[in-house]
Amino acid sequence: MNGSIRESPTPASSLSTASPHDPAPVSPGPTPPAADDRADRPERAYSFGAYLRSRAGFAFGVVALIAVVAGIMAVTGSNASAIALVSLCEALFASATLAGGFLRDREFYQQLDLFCDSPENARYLSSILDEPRTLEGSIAYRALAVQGKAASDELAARSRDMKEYRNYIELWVHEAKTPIASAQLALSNLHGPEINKVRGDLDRIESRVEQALYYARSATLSEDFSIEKLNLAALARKACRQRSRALIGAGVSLEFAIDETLEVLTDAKWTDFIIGQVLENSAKYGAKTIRFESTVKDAGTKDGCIELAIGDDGDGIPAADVPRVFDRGFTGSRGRTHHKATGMGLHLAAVACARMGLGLRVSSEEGTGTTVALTFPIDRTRMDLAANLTTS
Amino acid sequence: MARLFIVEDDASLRENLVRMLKLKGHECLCCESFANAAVEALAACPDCILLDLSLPGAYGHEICRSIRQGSNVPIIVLTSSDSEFDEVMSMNVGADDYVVKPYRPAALLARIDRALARSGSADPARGCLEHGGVSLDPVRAEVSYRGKSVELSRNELLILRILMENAGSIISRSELMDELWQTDAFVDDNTLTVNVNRLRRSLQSAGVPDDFITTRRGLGYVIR
Repeated sequence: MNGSIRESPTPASSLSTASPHDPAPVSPGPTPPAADDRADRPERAYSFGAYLRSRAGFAFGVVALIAVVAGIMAVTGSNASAIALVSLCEALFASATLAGGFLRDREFYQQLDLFCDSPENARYLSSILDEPRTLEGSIAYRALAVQGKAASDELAARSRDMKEYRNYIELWVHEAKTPIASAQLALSNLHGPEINKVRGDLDRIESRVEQALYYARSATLSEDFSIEKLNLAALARKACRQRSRALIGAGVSLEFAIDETLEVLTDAKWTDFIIGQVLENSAKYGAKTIRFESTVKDAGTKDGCIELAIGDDGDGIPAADVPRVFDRGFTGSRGRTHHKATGMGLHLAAVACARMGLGLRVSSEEGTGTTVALTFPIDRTRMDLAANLTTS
Repeated sequence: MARLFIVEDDASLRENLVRMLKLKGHECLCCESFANAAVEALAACPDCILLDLSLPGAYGHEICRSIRQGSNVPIIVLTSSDSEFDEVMSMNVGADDYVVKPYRPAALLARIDRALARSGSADPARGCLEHGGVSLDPVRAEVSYRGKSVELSRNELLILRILMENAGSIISRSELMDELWQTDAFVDDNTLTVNVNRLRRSLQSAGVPDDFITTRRGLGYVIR
């Protein structure tokens, strides 16, 4: 497909493999805070040279003092060796004062400087550093401690709120599922076009309720994963079964070209959710055929991955919208005219993929169709994957 | 016909569940007091128990464990929680199956049938359908007309079964497709037409009257 293409930002960018026909990604995604920034910023390190420069006024004063004292001594008739001796003593005394000040504060400020490069740890600063002995240092230290504690308290309160909110959403979703189940049972022995419409509406409610649950869970994604070895074809078929009415209602035909023996390392529920969002989008935007295709890429290397491409022949996405399909709340020009788009489906899918270390890529050409490629890394042990989850 | 014991606190869901199960020929008993659910369940001597996990004043897992201590009756846990913990826990305390709400009624029925079959309390005569001289045994996947057996493919058999189960009501093409999709036969509109036509031809060649399956244009198919 020669249309536009968008890759979701993944922690391991090597996982998202672009096929040779694909043009380069329009947008590489938000760039992480670049380490190169450090070279551009002004010298901050606590070195002796830098310390001296910051004490230039004191040094200038000492030089002036030596000059004045030498002048007075010369006028009062002291001999040259006495002037030199006194000047030397003054210079030594001043140097010792400067060196002492530098050595006394060095440890504290050098450690403090390290925190400038890791803002995420700045809150713990006062519990890691010792309080300096100087007056200014001590005041600064106490100010930092108070600020750090305030930030920690604020953060703890926020995460408690968020956890409570998430718990409430989970509870609410589970409560909402009971009446949906009840209504589906009530309809089970009724037939006819009107009932089918009600069934379709119920399915839509169910799908939206489900999306809310996954949104609430996405905040604490790493706690929700259970990575298993799963059959790829079975995952795809299950996702289709569960959305059968929406797909049949849209008149979609399915084509499967998935190697039945392929197994992928992933979380069953989240993968079902991701494939489901893609299928629901296809059905919503005019697809008549959805084709599943599996490819094994770079087998045997560390970049080896299994790709599941879900391609449709629907309306496609305007080139200008493609780079933003994973943005939260982005509905695009077509989504807005449809009035059904929440702009959350693909965003959540991208978030989940990034956390699970899967690749997600959308390529589309308006009027021809859309292909979503989901890539599962092969060469990864569970531990490798778990490490990735805790750091992301 | 089996005797089912239902432990579910949501009144509306319970009523709809009972109504659906009764229509499918099951006898249903409901739990009156959740604190004594296990005692009630054992006293009722059911063939299968449907158990909700979140109950007011009682723990589903606890009930499940108590029932399992007194009986080997199949227990199917019905719950709105899809957490792995609840699922593993349910299996550990002796549940036979775990179904997450909202479930497809057909899927629930299939799981009940499977549980009954495994525990040996399934009625062998149950499920045999008969209409206009055509009889269908879904368990053995056999169709016959006046003693003469008819060879049908898997999809054709399923279509015939759905139409016969709902004899008298019009079943839309999308409903048929949906049922086929649930068995991983992802047929599209054209394939469904081919399947139905082939089913008709097979039935006709066995002597079944042409109008056994009637097409209602724009609505679907019906067996009168």
